Amino acid sequence: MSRAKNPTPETERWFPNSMPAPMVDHHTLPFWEACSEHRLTVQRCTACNHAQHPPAPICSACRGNDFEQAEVSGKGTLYTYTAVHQPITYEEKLPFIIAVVELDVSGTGCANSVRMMTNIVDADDGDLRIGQAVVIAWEKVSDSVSIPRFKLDGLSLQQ
Amino acid sequence: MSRKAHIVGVGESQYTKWGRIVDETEHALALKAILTAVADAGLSIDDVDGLASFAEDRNEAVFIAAELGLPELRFGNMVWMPGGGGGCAAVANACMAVEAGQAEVVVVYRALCQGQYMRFGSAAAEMMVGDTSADAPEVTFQQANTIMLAAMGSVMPFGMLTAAAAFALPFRRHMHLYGSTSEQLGKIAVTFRQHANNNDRAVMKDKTLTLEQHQESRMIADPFRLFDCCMENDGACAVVITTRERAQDLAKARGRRPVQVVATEQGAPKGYSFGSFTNANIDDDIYATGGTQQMANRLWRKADLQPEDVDVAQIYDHFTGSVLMQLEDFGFCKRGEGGDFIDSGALSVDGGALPTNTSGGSLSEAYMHGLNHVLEGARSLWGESCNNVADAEVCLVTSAAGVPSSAILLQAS
Ligand SMILES: [Zn+2]
Repeated sequence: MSRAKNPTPETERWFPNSMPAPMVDHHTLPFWEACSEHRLTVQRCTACNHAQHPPAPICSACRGNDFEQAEVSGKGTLYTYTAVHQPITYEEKLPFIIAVVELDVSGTGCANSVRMMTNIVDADDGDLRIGQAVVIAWEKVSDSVSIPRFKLDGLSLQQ
Repeated sequence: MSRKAHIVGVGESQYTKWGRIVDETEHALALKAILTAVADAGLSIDDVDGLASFAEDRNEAVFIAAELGLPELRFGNMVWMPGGGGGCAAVANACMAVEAGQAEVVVVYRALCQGQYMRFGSAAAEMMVGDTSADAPEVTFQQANTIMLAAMGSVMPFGMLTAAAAFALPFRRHMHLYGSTSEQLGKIAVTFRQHANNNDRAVMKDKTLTLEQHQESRMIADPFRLFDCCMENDGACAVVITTRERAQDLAKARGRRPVQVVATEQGAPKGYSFGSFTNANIDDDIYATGGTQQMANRLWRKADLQPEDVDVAQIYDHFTGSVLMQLEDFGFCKRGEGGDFIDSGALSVDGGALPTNTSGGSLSEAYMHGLNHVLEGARSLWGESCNNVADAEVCLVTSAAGVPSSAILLQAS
């Protein structure tokens, strides 16, 4: 299918454009804007350093409302996952993997680690073990939208 | 006289595979279930002065009251706990209304005609997938105009759009932590199917299921196979709640034991939001659970009952894995031992330690967002179940786990 109006992706593509785009509000937009620059961030409260994701209007620990989007390393560990065998858009390759990744927040000043929902790409579900190291794999879907997916860390070393 | 809330009547329409009911509207089904339940109680529809529901019910109480010709609607109530988490909470609200004197007779109802609307299992995906046409514009952010869309909007780019995937995530971690298995899930599905095979109301009445068939069924969201997932159905059901004073007379007239709602609880752990659907940051010590343990502890204390006192249970079964984790949450076995508990045959009405989902549940009777579990809870104490447990006096009914939830304890007197 031709996609003339979409720019030629500079990064690999794993999902079709029909996979839902992010829906954003005033609070979550800074996260997705950072993603478009391929910077993975979590919302850090400047008053108490509590980290949360997705970004929210106030800090759930101290109820403050002054934040920064703290950039994290893009490394993490696999917390849990599922291989989805039912199509969502009827265009993606099945199965695909939805995962929860525990992010490495070292060096960010964040008081706690944060997990995020994501996908594991370039892996079969049989390859996955909870606790494995994973690393960010950006999927640029347009000039304004990039999606933070993950892949197994060190996969290339094993090959 | 006591105003303590009792269940006095239950009723339902026919249950069918989703999409089969096309010549009746969803609200007509609701009326049918309500009228059947009120007649079952031995009451007149003119006695009803309260209506309660849950899960974004399309069949708003004000219209239902008008169509029923109720003399006055004194209590109209909807639970905010999401989806199937609110069934027992709707009963709880009805109980609070009659106990507080805000109403005398409250009917809790649920009607589903998924063929006439979008199916729950695919609705989110159908609403939210992007433009797939060849001349689609460049992918850009969409605006999230509600708190719900903001929450979903952060996870749907990853394909998190189905309940199966949402509830597979915590159960996969349970398997990792405790070694629970797909075969144990299969035993849940097979046991509930055996129960449904005795149930004339069950959509799966005539369909048997073996463990082999479960293990060979197609994968939906690993580890959940087809037969780990509840059905989607058309139909309606209703439960009538009133005071002890009325319930004693009604029960006597019907030759039934009065069934008291001894305790009700709702519960959402800290930060739970929409559970594992939207929240990857559920506390580590409750991620691989049903999220209902705190609530369960409160329920036992409030009722002054223990898990050992329960004779029969109706556990919300949107997915088999959620049943296993709820059994642990409610203390029928220790954390991590749900699989062993199932291996022991505990859930079977045929000699199990905790006969569970005696009508077949959402996996095999019907998917009515778990309100049918409440109906079966009352029937199991009246001795009117398709699978009676001898001398049953205490029944636990739970609503959906993995999302903010609710539960009730019923006791025959
Ligand atoms: Zn704070």
